[in-house]
Amino acid sequence: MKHALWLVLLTLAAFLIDMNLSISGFRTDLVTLVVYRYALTSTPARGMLFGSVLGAAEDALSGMMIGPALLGKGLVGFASPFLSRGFFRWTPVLGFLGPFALTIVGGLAEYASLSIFEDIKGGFVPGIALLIAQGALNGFIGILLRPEKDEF
Amino acid sequence: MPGRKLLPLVVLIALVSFLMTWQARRGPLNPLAGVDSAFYGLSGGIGTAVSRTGDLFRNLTTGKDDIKVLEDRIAMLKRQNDQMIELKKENERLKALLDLKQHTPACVASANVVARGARHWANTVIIDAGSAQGVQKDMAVITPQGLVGKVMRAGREYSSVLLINDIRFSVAARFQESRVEAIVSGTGGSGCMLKYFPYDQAVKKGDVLISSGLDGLFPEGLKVGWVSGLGPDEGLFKNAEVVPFVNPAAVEEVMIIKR
Repeated sequence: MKHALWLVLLTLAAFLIDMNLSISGFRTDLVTLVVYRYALTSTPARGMLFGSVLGAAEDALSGMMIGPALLGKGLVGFASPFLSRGFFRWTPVLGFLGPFALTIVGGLAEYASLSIFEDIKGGFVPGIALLIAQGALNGFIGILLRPEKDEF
Repeated sequence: MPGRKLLPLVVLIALVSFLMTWQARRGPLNPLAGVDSAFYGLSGGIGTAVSRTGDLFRNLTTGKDDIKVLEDRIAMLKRQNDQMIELKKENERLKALLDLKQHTPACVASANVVARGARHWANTVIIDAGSAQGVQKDMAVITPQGLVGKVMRAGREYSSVLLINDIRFSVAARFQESRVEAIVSGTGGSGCMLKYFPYDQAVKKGDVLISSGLDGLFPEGLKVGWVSGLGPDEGLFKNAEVVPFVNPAAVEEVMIIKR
C-alpha cells in the first residue's frame, strides 16, 4: 500500500515536472524514468501495462491522438525487466545506459507512430537531439536508482 | 518460449495501431475531458506554490545576531528588487498586449500560459482561456512580437496551443519586401524552416516573413520570423532556416484572435 502511494506520488510529480521544466529549451522526460524504475523489478507484462497506462495518460493530457506515448512508454515498461535478468549485473554504467537507451527507444517508437498517423512537417534531427538530452538526464538519474539487493 | 514472451508486445502494437487508425478517421479521443482542466490548474499553481513555500522557509530562518539580520535584510531587499524588476517586465508585456488588443478588432481573448503540453514530441502549451471565453479550434495565437501558434484543442477553461516550432505546424507566409509566397514549418527544435520557396527567387539572411492569409487559418500580416540561414536547394525549391519573432520557449501571455 505504502509502495503504491509512493508510486502514485512519484508519477504525479514526474508529470508536473515534465510539464513545467525545460533545461536550455529541452523538455525533461521523467515519466519514462518512473516507468523504467517500476518495470526494472517487475515482469515484462506488468511493466508494459504500467508504462501503457502512464503513456495513455500523457497522450490524453496532450489533447492529441492517444497512442504514441502509450506505445513508447509501454515499450520501455516491456524492455526494462530484461535489464535485471540473465547476464546483466547492476553497475553504475548499466544504471546510466539502461534509462538512456530506453528513453531513446521509447521516443523513437513515439516518433515512428506519429510519423505514420499524424502529419509531421518538420525534420528528424532536432527530435533526435531532444531524445539524446532527455536520455542523458534520465541516465544520470538512473545511476542513483540502484535497486535493492533482493530486487535484482 | 520466446514467441510467448513477445505476445504482450504484439498485443500492444496491434492495440496502438487500431487506436490510432480509428482516431485518424474520427478525430482524437478525449477521455480526460473535464479532468485535464483540474490537472492544468494544479500544474499552473505549482510554480506559485513553490515560490511561496520558498519565501516562507526563508522567513523562518531569519538571523539571530545583527550581522545575520542585516544579511537577511540585504537578501530580502535583493529579492524585492528582483520581484520589482519581474513586475516591471510583466507590466511592460501586459501593456504591449493591451495595446495590441485595442488595435486588433479580431481579438477573442487574452490568456496566460499555465503549463507546457504533456507530450514530448509536441511543442504545445496550455493557456487559461477556453470555449467559455470564445476560444475555438484553429484560432491564431499571437503576442505583440508575432505569431505564437494556433489553438489545437479548446476545452471549457483551458486550451492547448500548437506552437510555431512544432513539427506539425505550418503557416502560409510571404516575404515582407518581395511579397513572394512560401510555407514556414516548425522543426521540432527551437526554430522553423522555409519550404516551397521557388529556386529562382532571391532570399537573403534577415528577410522578414509575414503570414499571407492564404491558408485560411491565419489572418494576413502577422509577423512570423526572419531568415537566419540558407539551406541546400531541393529541386525546384529553396530551403532556409527561419527564426520566429516569438521565442516559443519564453511565451507567458498571449492573445487569441479569429480570422
